[in-house]
Amino acid sequence: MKIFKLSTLLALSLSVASGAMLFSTAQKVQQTESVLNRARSAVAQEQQTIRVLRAEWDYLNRPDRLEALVKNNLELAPAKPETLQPDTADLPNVFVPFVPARKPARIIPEDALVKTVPVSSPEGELLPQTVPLPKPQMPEMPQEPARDQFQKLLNDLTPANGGDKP
Amino acid sequence: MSIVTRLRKSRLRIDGSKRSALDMAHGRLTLIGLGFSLLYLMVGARVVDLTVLQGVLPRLNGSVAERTLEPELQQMALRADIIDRNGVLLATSLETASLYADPALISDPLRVATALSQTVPGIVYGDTLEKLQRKSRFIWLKRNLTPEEQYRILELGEPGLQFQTEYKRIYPQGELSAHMVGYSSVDGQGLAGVERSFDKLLAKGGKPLALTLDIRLQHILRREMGKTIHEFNAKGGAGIIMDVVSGEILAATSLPDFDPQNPSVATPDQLFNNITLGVYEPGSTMKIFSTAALLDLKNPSLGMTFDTTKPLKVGRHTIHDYHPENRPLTIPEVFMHSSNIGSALMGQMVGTEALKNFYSDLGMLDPVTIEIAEKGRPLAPAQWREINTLTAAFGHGISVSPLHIVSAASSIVRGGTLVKPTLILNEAQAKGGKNATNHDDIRIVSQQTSHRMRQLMRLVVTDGTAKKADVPGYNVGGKTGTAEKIVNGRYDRQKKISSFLGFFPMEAPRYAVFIMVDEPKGTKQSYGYATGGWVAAPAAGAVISSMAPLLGIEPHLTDDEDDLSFTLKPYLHDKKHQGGQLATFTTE
Repeated sequence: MKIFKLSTLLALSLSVASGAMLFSTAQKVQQTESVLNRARSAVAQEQQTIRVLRAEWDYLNRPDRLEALVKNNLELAPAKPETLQPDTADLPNVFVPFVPARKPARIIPEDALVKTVPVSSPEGELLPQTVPLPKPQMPEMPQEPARDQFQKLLNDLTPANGGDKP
Repeated sequence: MSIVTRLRKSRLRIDGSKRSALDMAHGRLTLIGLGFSLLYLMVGARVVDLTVLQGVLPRLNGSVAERTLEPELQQMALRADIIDRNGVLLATSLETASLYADPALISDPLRVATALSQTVPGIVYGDTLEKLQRKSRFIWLKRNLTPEEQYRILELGEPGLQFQTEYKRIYPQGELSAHMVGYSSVDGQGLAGVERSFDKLLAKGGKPLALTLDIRLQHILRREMGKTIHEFNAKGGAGIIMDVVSGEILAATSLPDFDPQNPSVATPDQLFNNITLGVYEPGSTMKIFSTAALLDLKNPSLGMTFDTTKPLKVGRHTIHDYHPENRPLTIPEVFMHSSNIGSALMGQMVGTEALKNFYSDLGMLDPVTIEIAEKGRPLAPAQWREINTLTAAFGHGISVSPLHIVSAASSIVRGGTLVKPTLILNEAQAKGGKNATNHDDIRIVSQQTSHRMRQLMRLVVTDGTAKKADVPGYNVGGKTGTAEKIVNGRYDRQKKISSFLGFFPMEAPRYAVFIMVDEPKGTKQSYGYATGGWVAAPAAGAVISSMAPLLGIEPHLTDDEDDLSFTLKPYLHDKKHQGGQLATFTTE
């Protein structure tokens, strides 16, 4: 009777509610912490993996190894002092451009044909002079067994081509 | 009396007698209530404190949460990496598992030892069996397993075999920079090189330590030196590439070298650092300093001649040239032909005290300043007499490390101010800042002397003993040196140390290249010669022609008239005496 006074009920429900809130908050904190710990250990693991991969990358990129690989598989040679050109103007003019630069042909509008041309104007301006362009020449690519071998190697290493047997 | 009245009376009586007790109870309840509400208030205040004051507000202010400290603490355990100037790893630490045994938990040592020796390479049956029978509770079986080995051991399912996480030092570049980077023990303690001298800093972990080395130049230097040593069947050698302006050592190699991953199998010869720890009689490269001393202190005219017609006799000693020119030589000729008699006379002119002070100013009489602990103390005569001055002028009777020669000569050609070699990259400077550690305030020789020396060193390459070091377009200058080794107190003519110190481009020197070869033997191609001009100079030329395009240095081809050495040509008398000149010194 007297126990169930309004104030008592209120206090009781409040305490129960706050207790429940506290409990749920504590649970949430625990869960979040476990998620955080998992994330942290994953990060640490990932960092460790990155360290291993970096070490491996620099191991595989040792200059002597690269030098041997380039020598065997590519047609590249180390730069020599003679091959350095400080100015592009000094370059010999032997490279024929792959696609020769071509002036866009002047389009003559149809009504131009009936246009009256002033007498004073020179004849040449109406129709463009067609200058024969040099025939495009492909720079000769070296075709040597080494290049084929390298292409084959590349193909073999690409998994899409069914190569790559680890 | 009715029962009601009695009750009423009794109630009244109760009321009356217990009144004070009820009041007391009420008072107590109020007190307890107050106490509890106070506690609740405190809890409430604490909740506000935790959630709002400590939780929300700092986040709003953007300050870092306290938890983030932990990953850093984890990182602390890892020994810091060592990288080169371009960020290539020279040394790194990786997490590995190490196997140990708790013999108390192993019931059948025979079976475990058999299984282990079969599955894991490097574990010996008998040794393991002996370890597993001991009374101890902790015995290392194998440190730093590979992941695959660990997996195989886990497969055995033996409770007595346990793992401990350890860190292993890995040197991805192998032998390439072994002597400068150094190596460390299995417990992660630095034992040599930078690993040793920066042990405390590296053990703290954190940011990687950047060295001034460039692994590409290091490779070029080691490759060319390896070729030369092989070609001339030599014992070993040392090579240095240094930035003359900043003093940064871009490459330094000492051959024979070792794998820092496994230093225990290396021989003492391989572990020995020829660059800084070894001291050698440098021979004629020392003439750079005696000539510079003469030019700076006495300011003679270049046409001044020294009589080299007959060997110089001082006491019991005779100094003579191997291929005597038999005529008076001018200063450029003495330098170019590397005449011992001429240089000794120059030393005599400079004077004992002045020459000694000059060498001392250049740092030739103290261990070289460099950030590793393996440094050799130069061997100089305890008491300088006149004969010591004469021999020291052409590089005998005084022993210094190769790095001494490079840094001292760099000081002279870079304009005359002292440069100190360094191995640790100053990152603030590397990002385009001015070079702060190498102040240009300690002057050794004047600008004019520096220019004269550059001309003389260019002359050695255009007309003198080091023609094979020339690389067209880069204006290489330098000085060769050939010294005889002392065997049992006597100079042995068969055992030489041939060296070449070059600089390029000579009009404004930027890089120094030093090559020293220990005990080269003459070949058919070198007509039996094993001198600096035949052995070390071509190697230095090869190094320069490989490294200059790599560093993007443009070649500038100059005509003879524009060459730095052109103004010295009038001082040369006879052009037929060119080429490999041997310079030797004998004691009698």
